[in-house]
Amino acid sequence: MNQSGATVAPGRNFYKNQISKEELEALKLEMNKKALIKRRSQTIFRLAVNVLVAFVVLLPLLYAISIAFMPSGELFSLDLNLFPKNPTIQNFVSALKNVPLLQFILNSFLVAGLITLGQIITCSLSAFAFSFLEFKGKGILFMIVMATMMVPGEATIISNYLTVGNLGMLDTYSVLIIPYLTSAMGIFLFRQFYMTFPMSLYESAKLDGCSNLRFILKILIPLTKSAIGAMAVYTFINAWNMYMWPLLVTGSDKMRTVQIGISMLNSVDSQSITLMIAGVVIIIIPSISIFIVGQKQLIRGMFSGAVKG
Amino acid sequence: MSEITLRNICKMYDKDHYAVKDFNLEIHDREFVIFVGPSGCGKSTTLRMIAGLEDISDGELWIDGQLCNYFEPKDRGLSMVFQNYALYPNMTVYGNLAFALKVRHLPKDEIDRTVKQVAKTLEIEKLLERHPNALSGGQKQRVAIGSAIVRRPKAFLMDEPLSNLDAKLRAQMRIELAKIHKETETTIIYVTHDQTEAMTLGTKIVVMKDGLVQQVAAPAEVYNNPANLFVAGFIGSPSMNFFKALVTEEDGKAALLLGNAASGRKVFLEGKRAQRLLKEEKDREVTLGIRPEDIYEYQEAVDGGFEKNTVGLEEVVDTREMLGAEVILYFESQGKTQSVRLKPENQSKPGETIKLYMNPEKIQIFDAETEENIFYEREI
Repeated sequence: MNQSGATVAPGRNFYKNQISKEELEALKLEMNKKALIKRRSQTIFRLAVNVLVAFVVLLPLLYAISIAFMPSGELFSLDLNLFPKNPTIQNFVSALKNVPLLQFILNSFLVAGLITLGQIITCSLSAFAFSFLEFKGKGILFMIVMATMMVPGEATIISNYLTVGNLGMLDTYSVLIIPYLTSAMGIFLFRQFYMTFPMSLYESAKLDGCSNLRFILKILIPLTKSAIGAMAVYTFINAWNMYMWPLLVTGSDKMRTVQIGISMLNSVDSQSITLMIAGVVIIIIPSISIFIVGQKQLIRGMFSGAVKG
Repeated sequence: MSEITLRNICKMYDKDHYAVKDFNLEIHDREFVIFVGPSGCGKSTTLRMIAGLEDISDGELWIDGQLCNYFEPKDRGLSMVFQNYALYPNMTVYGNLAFALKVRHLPKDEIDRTVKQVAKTLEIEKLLERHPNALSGGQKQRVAIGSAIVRRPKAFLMDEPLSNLDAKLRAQMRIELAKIHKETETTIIYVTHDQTEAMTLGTKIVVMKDGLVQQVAAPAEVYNNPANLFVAGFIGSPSMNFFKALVTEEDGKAALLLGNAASGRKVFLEGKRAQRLLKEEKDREVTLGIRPEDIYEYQEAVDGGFEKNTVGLEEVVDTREMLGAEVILYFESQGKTQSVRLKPENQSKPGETIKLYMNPEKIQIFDAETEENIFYEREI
């Protein structure tokens, strides 16, 4: 057989039902090369589309960061200025000076952190009861819990305020935390996860002599790490973004949370967009970092039910 | 030592619906007891009541002389193997085996020794570091059995442990289960709907239907001496053939007329069985039951000396199943599909007519109303 087989179109010798080893090798190389090029170009194309879409999605955020570095005079001009011409950190400095932003961040961290922890504990315990234990009125009780999801928070905010007011709890950490220590959403989420485990797992543990609490700690929680992660990120960000309730029940700078801190930057007599945006950028950092740390868990948690089957 | 006694055990889910009714059974040490029956017959419920996973509505459960109705599952000293294995997915095989011992706060070196020993018995030593999702079905089953053995329970409860395996693996695991039973010398209570498993594994079979125990006996006994029509039809594959027949007397023999008299299909019974039949059921319609292997061709009937006892039984073959060591022919009679198990030399093809001879010694007669076996001999 000739050595030029590599350059000839594939299939040349097929009608003879024979092909030399060299020709086969060359054919393989050629096909591999083609496949590689195809695969690479596809990857590049996908990457480009992704970058483009990500840019569009992130544009407001990037613009906010850019504004935060602009001197306040520069923003209100007729030219399009996406980037600060004279970058400055003055906005950040004055934002931190005007209101005790660091204290607020600390408060928000404490409140959001404890709410998250509390919700994970209460929701996993009640979801365990709703999925593994048998008791009278289980169905009705679960329905009632689910029904609370349909009541908007605003509807109960006044009566809640009066209650905590009468209890003398206003302007404390506990008033920010205690009303949010459990959530129907979390119970539902955990229950859905627990339902994917066969009942026999629990029964087997019971025969092994394992207590309910031990079953939750040693078996359920390790198995639902992703759900817990998703739930934690979701709850934390929600708690971090709380506005109405903290505004209502806290009065002193010592107890306020970041979202209120931002609105305090927006005072009527000295309105400065750049200052506010700088404040926003400061307080976004913690919630974004939480998301970055937890995004793997969040996405796995959101989709695991659908994919695992 | 373990003696388990069930006395009038009942399970009711609502007021007048019994899932299990008046279940009486004595299980002795080292017995391999099988609960068998169609799905929904209450066999799993009974097992779960013994385990303590279901409340006992009525009756008494005694384990080793102690009334255990209100004992927590963990205090009954039983362990259970589930159909879907129920392995903890977050733990390695070692962790799974050790879990029950850890819960009981046994010293670490003792746990280690026991786990390794059990792993050796079940030949899963190489799998100890793996997680359950990296195991095949058969391996998972071994681990599940291992985590049941590891505690040295008074008895094993097994709820259809082989039904998730493919046919070949099931046959293999069946043999191993028998071996484990022999080696560990414990009592096993085993639930299955598969009558092959019941016949091959059990030392005692409990046949159930609609929450009621139909018969409790050794496998051969259940096969050869079924208590009633249901047991006769449930145990055995292909199942027993049933014909409607009229009992008459002819020359001192009992003659069973199959179908209408004009067809001339008759089977004769002689001796004690004939007398008993005539005494109880003369001129009444009964159900005649005969197993496929108790029907023969002419030459074998001559050899057995009963060729004159079957008259006019000619059937048209519907389907022929060649199984190698035997051939099974199916035919329609009295509106039902019946079968006969013959030697592989038989060359009958579908559509051909074949002459068949029943062995009268093997015939069972069931009362048309009560469906009880007239020839059933109660154990003394």
